[in-house]
Amino acid sequence: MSRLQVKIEKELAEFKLAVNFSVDSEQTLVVIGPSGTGKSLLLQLLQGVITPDHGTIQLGERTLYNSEQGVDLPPYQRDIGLLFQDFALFPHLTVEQNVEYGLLGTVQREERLQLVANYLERFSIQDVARRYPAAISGGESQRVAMARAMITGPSLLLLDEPVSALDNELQQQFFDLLREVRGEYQIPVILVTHDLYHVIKVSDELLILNRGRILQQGSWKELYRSPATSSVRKILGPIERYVEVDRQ
Amino acid sequence: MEYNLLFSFKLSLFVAGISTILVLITGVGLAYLLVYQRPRGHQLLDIALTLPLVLPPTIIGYYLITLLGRNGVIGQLVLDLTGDSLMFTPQAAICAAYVVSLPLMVKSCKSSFESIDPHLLAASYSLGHNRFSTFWRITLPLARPGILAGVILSFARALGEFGATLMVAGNIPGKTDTVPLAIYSLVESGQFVRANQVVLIYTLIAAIFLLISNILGGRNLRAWKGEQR
Repeated sequence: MSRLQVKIEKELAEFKLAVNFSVDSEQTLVVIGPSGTGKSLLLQLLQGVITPDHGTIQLGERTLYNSEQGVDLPPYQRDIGLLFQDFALFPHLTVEQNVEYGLLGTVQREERLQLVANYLERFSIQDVARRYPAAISGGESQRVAMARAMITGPSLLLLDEPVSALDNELQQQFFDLLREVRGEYQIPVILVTHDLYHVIKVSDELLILNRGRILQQGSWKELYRSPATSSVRKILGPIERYVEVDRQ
Repeated sequence: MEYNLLFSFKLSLFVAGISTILVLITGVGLAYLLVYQRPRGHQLLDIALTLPLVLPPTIIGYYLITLLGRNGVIGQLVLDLTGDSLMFTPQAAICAAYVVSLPLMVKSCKSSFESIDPHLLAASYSLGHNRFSTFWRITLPLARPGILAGVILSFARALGEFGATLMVAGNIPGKTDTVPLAIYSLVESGQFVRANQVVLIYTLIAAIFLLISNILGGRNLRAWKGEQR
């Protein structure tokens, strides 16, 4: 069980990113906003690829970043699972080797191979274990990416536009997989997208970001019923077309 | 004058081989520095590393003389340590070959590193691998075709080096006369039949190296395009 608490600031050329939010375990926070508004930057700040100017990032008991205490864990010590739109599978490694990758150097060979075999079966990719990523389907790629991310037991899962390039069937498969994983591992999930309608059904909370500022945070129903500003209303768009909205 | 062409071939391979090993080690390191570390002044460093590609061999030779000569920084150091001058030795030929072939290695490695999807590196970090481990397991294997191409090009360039070598190593028969220098001497002394033979053999060697480069590069690409191991 790990709760993510974020309070960071980062001065940029065009605007200042200043966010303060938290995500509970088993909760999926969807970060949405117009292009170039700081969504991907937020993910990079959480990953540790970019350092904030000041603030804190707390993940459960662990401090990932604290400007006052001088703590800034490098990306490889943050214990964060990542999933990209293109899945970012290592093209020179087989499916099996991709899944094994996060255990290299930390888990003994026999135990590692057993664990990999379990994950290949768990994510239904054992039949493609010896293939290279270029030779597997989109659905298989997403399961390989998820298996690879989850085998190390991350404390947080970050998803960057994970379904934008998928067709409807694959999107549905991905959401089912995400629900399973979230429930099983009991970790917070942050999903960044510019297209709300694909992910609204898996969201527990929405965070509307615009030019580095949080306009509003809450469930999509709350935001739909009482948007804080006209910008929120505009970014949410016609939700009623995609989900059943209780108008009372 | 009778030239010992076997010696020239052996010397050329020795000079090109040693300089290519040095170029491989430093070239990969410098390309990594320029692409991933981008230290202050990286653009100046990039220009300095590229200059040997565009400068005339005589200017490169002149710079090398000022460095390797008795009053040069490196030349004086070597003189103090060994009691021998670096000029007009095979070692000086290695230095010349190194300087002219390094840019090819750096350029080739740089473009290979730059073509690697940053998401792959981010994924590697997120899976607990530090910079060194990520370089070893992801960056280096993915850049292998480019590095290999750099090695072959650098080796070929080192084999063919003439101008700067002539200025710092001279053209001393049986000591520093690499194949290009020997060809020059053969032509100058009117021994065209032997020059023809040497030129053809040399061209064949260069073509074989390029063929090896293409085969190895193609094998890597085929493996990643979906064939099972």
